Amino acid sequence: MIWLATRLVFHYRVRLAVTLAGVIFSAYLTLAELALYIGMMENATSIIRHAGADLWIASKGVQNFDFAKPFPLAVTTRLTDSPEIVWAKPIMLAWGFLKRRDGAQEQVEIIGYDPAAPVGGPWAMASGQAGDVGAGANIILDESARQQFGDLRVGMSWELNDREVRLVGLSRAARTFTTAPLVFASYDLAQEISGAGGHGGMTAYIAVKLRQPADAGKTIETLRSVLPDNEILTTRTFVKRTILYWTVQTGMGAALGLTAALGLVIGAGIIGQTVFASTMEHIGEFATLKAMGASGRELNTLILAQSVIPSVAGVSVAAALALLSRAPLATTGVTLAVDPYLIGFQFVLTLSIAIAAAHVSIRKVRRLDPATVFRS
Amino acid sequence: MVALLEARNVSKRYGQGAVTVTAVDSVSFAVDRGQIALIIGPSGSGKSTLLSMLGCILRPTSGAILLEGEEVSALPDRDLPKIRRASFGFVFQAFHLFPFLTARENVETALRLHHTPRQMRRTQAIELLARCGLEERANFYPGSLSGGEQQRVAIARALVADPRILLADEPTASLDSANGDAVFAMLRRFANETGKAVVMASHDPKARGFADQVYTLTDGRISPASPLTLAARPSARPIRDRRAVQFATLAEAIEKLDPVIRPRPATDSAQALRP
Repeated sequence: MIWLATRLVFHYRVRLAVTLAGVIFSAYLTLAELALYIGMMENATSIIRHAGADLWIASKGVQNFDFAKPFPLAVTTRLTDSPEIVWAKPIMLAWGFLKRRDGAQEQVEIIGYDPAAPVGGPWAMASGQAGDVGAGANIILDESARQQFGDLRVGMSWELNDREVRLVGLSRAARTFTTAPLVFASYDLAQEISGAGGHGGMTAYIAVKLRQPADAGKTIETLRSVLPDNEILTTRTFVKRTILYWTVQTGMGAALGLTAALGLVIGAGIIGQTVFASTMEHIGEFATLKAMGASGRELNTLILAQSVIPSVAGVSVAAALALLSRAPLATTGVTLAVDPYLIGFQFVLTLSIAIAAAHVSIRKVRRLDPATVFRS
Repeated sequence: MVALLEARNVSKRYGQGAVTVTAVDSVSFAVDRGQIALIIGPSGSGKSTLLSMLGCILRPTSGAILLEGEEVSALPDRDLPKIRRASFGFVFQAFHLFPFLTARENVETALRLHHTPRQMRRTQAIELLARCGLEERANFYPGSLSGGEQQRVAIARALVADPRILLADEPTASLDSANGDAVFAMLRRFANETGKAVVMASHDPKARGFADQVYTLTDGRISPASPLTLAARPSARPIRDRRAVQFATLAEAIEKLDPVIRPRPATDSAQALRP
């Protein structure tokens, strides 16, 4: 029956073209919106996920990684003696201005980390090493910052908050939700630039590696009792909190979700309408097949295949388009996180729609009286 | 001897309570191997309903349909498609070919329902189309075929899976006289050469000349076989005697016929239609 469905679908080329166009549009819309959302959330949580820490100590009420209230660095010393903790590394976060070649200032997000053990530093490098920031006035910029700063080469001098700094490396795929370029620097330089160096130093986060991550709950309880003015979060919780913040607080989740849902509705409408119209147009043939002795299962297969074939073809083209549009979009600073899982998800989603859309036709054909073939 | 297909006091009523329409009323008749039973009657007389019940498409309200003595009308719904697939071939007034398939593929569809292997399917379909004079038209879509050609494709589709009984509803109603006669001749050949039964509903007065039994259906009631059919048993008469031969569309088929057509033992229909 799949053969019959294939012939039916491909025989009517104009209808197929219209259906395909609709499915491609719908699937691409959904795929792109989801990929855009995932890409944004990956950017928003990239440092948390790549730091290799099990726990994060932050100021009370922290909502996302990018906006943190500094707290005294002295807290770190109270952790390093703990037998459950392998290491505890401060990560400084500050906002500054990097002067462009044309004299304009561009706001940047500065991440300060310990160059000797670069927790919180860049995790993928286009050139140089994360530790190259050393103790001096050195910075690493993400290569995506070329969009704002033009030519970026190791060895170039830049002005960060009126202080001259040297570019010692270029990171890869290190972005933030805010789209402000990431500037990696040593912890000391970041502190200095942010002006949070007094009173024994301040930090935005302390990333903690546990000896037994499985026992994190117990350690968290201990840390909460020791640090009542701080927030103790697992990496997973911090990622979730950051995602929730950007999704809900900015309204972005609703906007992208609505567009993705719209894509699904359009897809469902197109597939459903096409399959039903085709079923009605060929209702005589369905009755003939019934009269000839085709079983209900065979007829269901025929209708389902009729629905699934253009859906699979459409979503395949949409997936290919999404993959192809990643690179051009990346040059504009847009991360389209299209991966096999998302494509697989889109396939399942579209197939579910196709099956649901076919259901109406299946019911129609199930109720069809094959005796209608005897009426002219 | 048990009849191949028998309707025993079969009725079909629609509606319920006070509003009931009796489409077929206590019909009994039987058709045997190698015979053509013709059912004539005005529109709305119940011919299509009767054919639907004979073909296990509709279930009678009362009475029984027996296939080689076995009551099939009492079988559960899930078994009826298998019965139809195995025992019946259908020819419809409106042809009901699949417009998106070529003539050959249309014929193959019946074999696909039987899960016949690809090569065998193709060979049988081509052979039967050739027997129907459509060898050159095998790769044409129905839209490119004339009405007569389409009906011949439909007949080939109905016969290719070697059914025991062919049910034909107004098979010539959409055809001109020449093509109509060609179709009757084909059905006659099928019955004679394969020993299988044909039940045909038709308005066409010429159909009588090709039938072994003629029944009249009026308001759902069937009348006994007409004297005409008792006098003339076409299966024992040469086809060449019939006026059908004068039509060009039949010429090829007629040339391949034996001078005197006699009933033969049941064989595969595709084989049987070979010259």
